[in-house]
Amino acid sequence: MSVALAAMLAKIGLWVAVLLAVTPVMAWVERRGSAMIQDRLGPNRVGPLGLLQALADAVKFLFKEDLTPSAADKPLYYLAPALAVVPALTTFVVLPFGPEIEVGGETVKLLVADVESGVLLFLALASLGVYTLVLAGYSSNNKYSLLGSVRAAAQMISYELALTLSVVAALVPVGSFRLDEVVLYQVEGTWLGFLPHWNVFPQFLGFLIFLVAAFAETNRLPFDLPEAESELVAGYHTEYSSMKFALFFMGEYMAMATLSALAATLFFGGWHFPGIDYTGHWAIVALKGFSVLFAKVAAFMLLFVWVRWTFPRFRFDQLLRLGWKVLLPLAILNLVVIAALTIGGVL
Amino acid sequence: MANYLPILVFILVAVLFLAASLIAARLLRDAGMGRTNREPYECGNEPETLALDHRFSIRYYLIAVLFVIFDVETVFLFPWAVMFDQLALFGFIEMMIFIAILVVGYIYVWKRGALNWA
Amino acid sequence: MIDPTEFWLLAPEIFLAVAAMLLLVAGSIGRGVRNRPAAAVALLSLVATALLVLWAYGKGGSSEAFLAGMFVLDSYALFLKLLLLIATGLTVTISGRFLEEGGYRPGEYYSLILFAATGMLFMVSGYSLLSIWISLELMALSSYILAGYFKRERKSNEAALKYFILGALSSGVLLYGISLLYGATGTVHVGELAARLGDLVSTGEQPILIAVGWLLLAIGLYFKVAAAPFHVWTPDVYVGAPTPVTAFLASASKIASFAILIRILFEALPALKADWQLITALVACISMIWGNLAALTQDNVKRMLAYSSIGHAGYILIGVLCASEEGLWAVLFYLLAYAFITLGAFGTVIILEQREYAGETYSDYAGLARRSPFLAASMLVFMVALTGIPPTGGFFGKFYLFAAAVEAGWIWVALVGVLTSAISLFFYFGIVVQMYLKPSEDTTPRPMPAVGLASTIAICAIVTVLLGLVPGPLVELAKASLIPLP
Repeated sequence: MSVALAAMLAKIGLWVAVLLAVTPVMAWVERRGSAMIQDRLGPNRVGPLGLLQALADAVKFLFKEDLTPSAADKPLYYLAPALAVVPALTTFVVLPFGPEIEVGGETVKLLVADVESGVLLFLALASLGVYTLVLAGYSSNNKYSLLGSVRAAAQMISYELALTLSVVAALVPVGSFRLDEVVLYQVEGTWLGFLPHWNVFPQFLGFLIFLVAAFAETNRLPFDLPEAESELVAGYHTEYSSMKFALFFMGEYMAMATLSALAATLFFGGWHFPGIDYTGHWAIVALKGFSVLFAKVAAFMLLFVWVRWTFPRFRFDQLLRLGWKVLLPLAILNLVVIAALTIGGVL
Repeated sequence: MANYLPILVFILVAVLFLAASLIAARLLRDAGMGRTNREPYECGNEPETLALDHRFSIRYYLIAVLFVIFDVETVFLFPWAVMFDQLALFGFIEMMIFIAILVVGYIYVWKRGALNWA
Repeated sequence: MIDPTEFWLLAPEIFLAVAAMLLLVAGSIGRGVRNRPAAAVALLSLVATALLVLWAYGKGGSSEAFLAGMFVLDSYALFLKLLLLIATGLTVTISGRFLEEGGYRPGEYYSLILFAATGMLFMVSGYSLLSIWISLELMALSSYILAGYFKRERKSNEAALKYFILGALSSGVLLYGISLLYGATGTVHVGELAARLGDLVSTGEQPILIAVGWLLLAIGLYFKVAAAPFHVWTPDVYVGAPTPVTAFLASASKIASFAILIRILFEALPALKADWQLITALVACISMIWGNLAALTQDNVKRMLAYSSIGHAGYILIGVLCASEEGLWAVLFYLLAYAFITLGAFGTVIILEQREYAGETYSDYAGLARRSPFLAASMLVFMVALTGIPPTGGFFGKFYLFAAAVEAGWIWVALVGVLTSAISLFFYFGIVVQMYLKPSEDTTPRPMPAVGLASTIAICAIVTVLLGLVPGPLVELAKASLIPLP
């Protein structure tokens, strides 16, 4: 087996294993975290500190009755949960988790797919998440689902503009779509002598826009009107039960992880942390890089949970107003300013 | 082309996991009660009309169309952003004019109220 | 790389586009602008654009394409640009009343007209198939919205929708033809395309790709000029659109579409001359026959004028297919005359319309000679000109066109033209009969007291008669504005 093939399988295996573990861990973090914020106990019966709660949930999902509404459009109904999980998982192929390493004489890049169109592929796959909502709502043949899904779709596409524009602005000083080059740009040098050369410092506005848009893209509070229980029962996944519902649930956490990872890579230097030495045996380097990246992703996920249980919910018209009248002009302004600074040689 | 192979493998692995979980659920689950709970959920009432018979507000369509316009603008901004240094000042000014024309359209849309609760 | 100073040659278009954008923004703030100021701004920008056209031509007008071969500013483009600006200006003057009566927003209307005019200016100086196509789209998209400008009238919405669907389809067909020709030759630049097509045709390579390519290209263009059998959109759109917009479509839009048809056929496809001459001849004959025969049975004046414009497209195509100097300057002369006649005729229809769609049936003209002799006389002039009777510009236009056809050897086409002109006498003079020989009733609409509108009609009538009495200077002007023949 050649080095390249082994490396590819190892990378894929690593990512899949870690990502599949995200959902159970996040479920626990969400429930204990929300409990802490709300000054109550949270799950503490199943295993020490309630850590096996997610396992219990998984078992429950496996054994639950699977209701399929009689008037549902079956092919689309089954397709929607699949689309929730697969694209969100696949976006991780272009994320680098370490510098280039030497394995058995060959250089191996620590990202699964070394394609020219890195970020574009990422955004394209992430945009497939809208289909999930639309197909789920449409195929359920339920008024709540339909309305919820149309609202969710409107919300997602409105914020996708601001998201994409802030990503474009982050690419301007780098000059390439490839995320490993974006990270390499952020490795060298410092801002003002002591800050790491991460994109968040000059492009703080861009980062804020990205963050807000990320909250809206994943349908997380304060933008979770499409799945708000007091409004639309459960929105687009009203008619789903058992494993398919679990897949939606998983898809939502995957999307959160996806955008957190992109934020970490574009704005916070990805696998790089000042002070850590990325030389030595290839396994150590890969491990260091991956841990740093994952620590950043975890920090963002914690932020997601924290914000969810702190803020009230946006009304739909407030939500659209924010997306179209505030974020979009700010994103364009951000792009123009960053481009001007880059022309001027500052960035 | 070889660079895209890992993506395919990744997708296959994801689909494999998906299939495994769905098959496991199907094998392990309860048989179910039958026809009564197959009707669309409407908080206890019986639904009188099909969901798809209802018309949508045209404001959703407006949002979608506006999204398409600005997304096409973004598509044009992508290659400019990555070829930025080679296009230098001339490209920068050209792109600023492009963005300005789109901003004119944006101002028109805003002022005419198309963005109010869309 | 492109030399940035070459952009000065596009100054008129840039100016007009900026004016249109400013008008758009001004029209959307608060209650928008009112009709008179907006019309004044539009007219002033058109005048300024015309001056800029002359300045730009003086600065660097030549047959050399600039801006990486995308545009050219030769005398053909100069003639057509000035003509288009005049036609647009006249459209602006006849639009005011309509907007005021209907209560529709003027700011966006004039802005759209200016955008369409910008597209047309770009079109006539386009020297790359793609720049021609994009500017065609600019004109077309503005026209689609303009056709549906009367939002509260169902006919207008229907017209806009039909125009949009069929127009988008034809633009797609046109683009597909361009892409097939690009596939065969590897270029979209008009000059280079001619050279490479010449090589390919002489060696006989890629016959199917070239044939299908140019055929689709031609079909898309025939649609835009409303030539039968690609004319299905014309009657419904002309009837449903607000009448000033119809006048705009029938005059300026047609001129620009013919301009690019000629440019592409003469300068990009000279190698296929034999093919496109035959096809154009067939299309011309079908247009003349179908347009004139269908107009015979119409009761609605706008619909009759629509079918008559299809017939006139046929006459103009006769000049195109000759592929000779006489044919080309005859076409330019006829386009000029036709613009004034059309604008005047539709202006008369507008001045009779008191609610949005009055003044459309033949009976609405009954007894006009007694109620308003000036209007009746102008309408008589326009109808006579459209039929092709001296001493009007229409007569000389048709005369030169048929003479060119005979000289080029296409006698049967000229014969069809003469016969259909004779047939057209019946439906044009139907209006004249109503005006002069029938008594008016209480329910027939009275003309509105609109000075701007009336003076525009007067100007058109005077120009039409002048062209019939002294065509010489304009013929010389047309002869100086030719492009290389195939």
